[in-house]
Amino acid sequence: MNSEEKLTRELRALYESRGYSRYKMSKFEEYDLYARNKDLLASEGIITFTDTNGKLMALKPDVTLSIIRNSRVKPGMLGKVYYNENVYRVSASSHSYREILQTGLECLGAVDGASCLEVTSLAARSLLLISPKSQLVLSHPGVVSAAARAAGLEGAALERALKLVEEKNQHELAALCAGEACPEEAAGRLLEIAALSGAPGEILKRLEETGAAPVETAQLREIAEGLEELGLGDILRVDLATECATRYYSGVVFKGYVAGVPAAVLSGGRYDALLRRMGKAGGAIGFAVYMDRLERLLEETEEYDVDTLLLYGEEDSAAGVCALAASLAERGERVLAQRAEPEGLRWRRTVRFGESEAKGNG
Amino acid sequence: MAEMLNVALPKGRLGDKVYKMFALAGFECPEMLEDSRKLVFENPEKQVRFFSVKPSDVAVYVERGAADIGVCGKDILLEYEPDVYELLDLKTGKCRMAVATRALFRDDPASTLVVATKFSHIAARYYASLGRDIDIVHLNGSIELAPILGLSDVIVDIVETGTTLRENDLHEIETIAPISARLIANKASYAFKKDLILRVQEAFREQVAEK
Repeated sequence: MNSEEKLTRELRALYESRGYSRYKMSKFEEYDLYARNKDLLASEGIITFTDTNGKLMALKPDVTLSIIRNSRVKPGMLGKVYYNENVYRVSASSHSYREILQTGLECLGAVDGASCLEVTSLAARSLLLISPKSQLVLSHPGVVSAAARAAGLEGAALERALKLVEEKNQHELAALCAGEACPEEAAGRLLEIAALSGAPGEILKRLEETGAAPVETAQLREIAEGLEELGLGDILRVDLATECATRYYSGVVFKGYVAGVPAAVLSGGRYDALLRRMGKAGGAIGFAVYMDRLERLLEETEEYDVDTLLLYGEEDSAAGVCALAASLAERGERVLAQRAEPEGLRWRRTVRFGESEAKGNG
Repeated sequence: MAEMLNVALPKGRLGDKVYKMFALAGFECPEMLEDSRKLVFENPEKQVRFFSVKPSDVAVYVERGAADIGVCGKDILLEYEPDVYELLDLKTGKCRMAVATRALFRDDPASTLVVATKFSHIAARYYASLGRDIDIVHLNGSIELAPILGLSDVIVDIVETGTTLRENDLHEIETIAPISARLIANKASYAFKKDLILRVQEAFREQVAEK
């Protein structure tokens, strides 16, 4: 089993241990589902084709929309599912379609404090399964947008301000506030809040002192203190610039980083507004782990590709060759039976059928 | 071993200037001043490693995490929109992204405007914001030639003093954005090497304020 398969199994075991059931979906969905929610998708391009019945179908660019559409949660109850699915998106760097493996979970319905903490803690535990050197960055997009509105920013100026906050671009944010004639005190508060990043205790205390967005701040505190109680506080950080320009999330959001991977490997949060938009009642929270971004981290660094190269000739007994390969494999060796030495492969030792063992090439 | 801060510096005059800012901030690396063909310079004592790369590649090194931080022009950030943090305007390498054309050119809003540029994305976005239909001619250099030879109606390019434009009988008609060097950071590096990155940011902020 390679490292990626091992991680997938461990994540699955983690999610199943909290009662999440596997959600299996088809590779295709009706295009209409994504067309109606195009503004929420991570990439614009969708691969479409016409099905045999004339319906326009799409290779799924997203899992959550499909889970919401198919969810049947009774009032007052919670639907808890996890998935391990490929999605098809345009890569921002290569501008071409890529198949991306995503693992994640969603909790829908009567979402409350306990379920929010459960999902966030599962995100933290997922990161720790990937690497002990990881960080879960927590935020709430409502905090920065409340501060920006309090400074008088609306419409296009508000959108621009939120994007600048996400980029940690304080110099252009200050210029925007000056250009929009924002009151000095409110603009100063926005700039301060946008820059708040660090240990939860210290950041939340400062945020409470500013008096901006008390409801959102209380939600952040509840999650942060809950994670601390669960022994997951060491990897937690609050950074209010995180996902503040998002249209997808409408409550607490989080991103996960692991050392050695240059971009976030996990992303999630609360998306009640999306649920309502799709005509469903209740709340929702979930996250995805981007397995494709872990490829380099999980790369095998084994010295040899196989343990034994078993060479045989045309005259050798087929049953004898297969029996020898099977007996070597039973001893735990990886055996490759070949007629001649393959190029570009490293093996520990060579066994010629009917002869004694020789040295490898690795 | 102490954690190292990997820095992508643009080759050339801007890189030399920015290195001096790093040295003043306490991240000196004497190897950098030697005349050599080396591409990587490090000073483990100061926890810093510099890479000297093509200016337009700095953002790629930072976005992909090969470098934790770097310095590149705002033009590159506007054109490629890399997923990085833009931490500070260094207020050096100042110029502007502008539209220029021949003196005799009269714009006809009813026809498609032909725009020559090496900043296709910036040009497309700018004219889309004006609702203007354009045809982009992507060039890699000597952009000023395009309107002179009738290859385009206007150009979108970086203008510093305007001398090159004047010498080719062109003049600036619009400013799209002011350009200067920016300190950028990889988002994951910001999570794990925040203290080192903030040390650089703070020291640079003070140096910029003193100018």
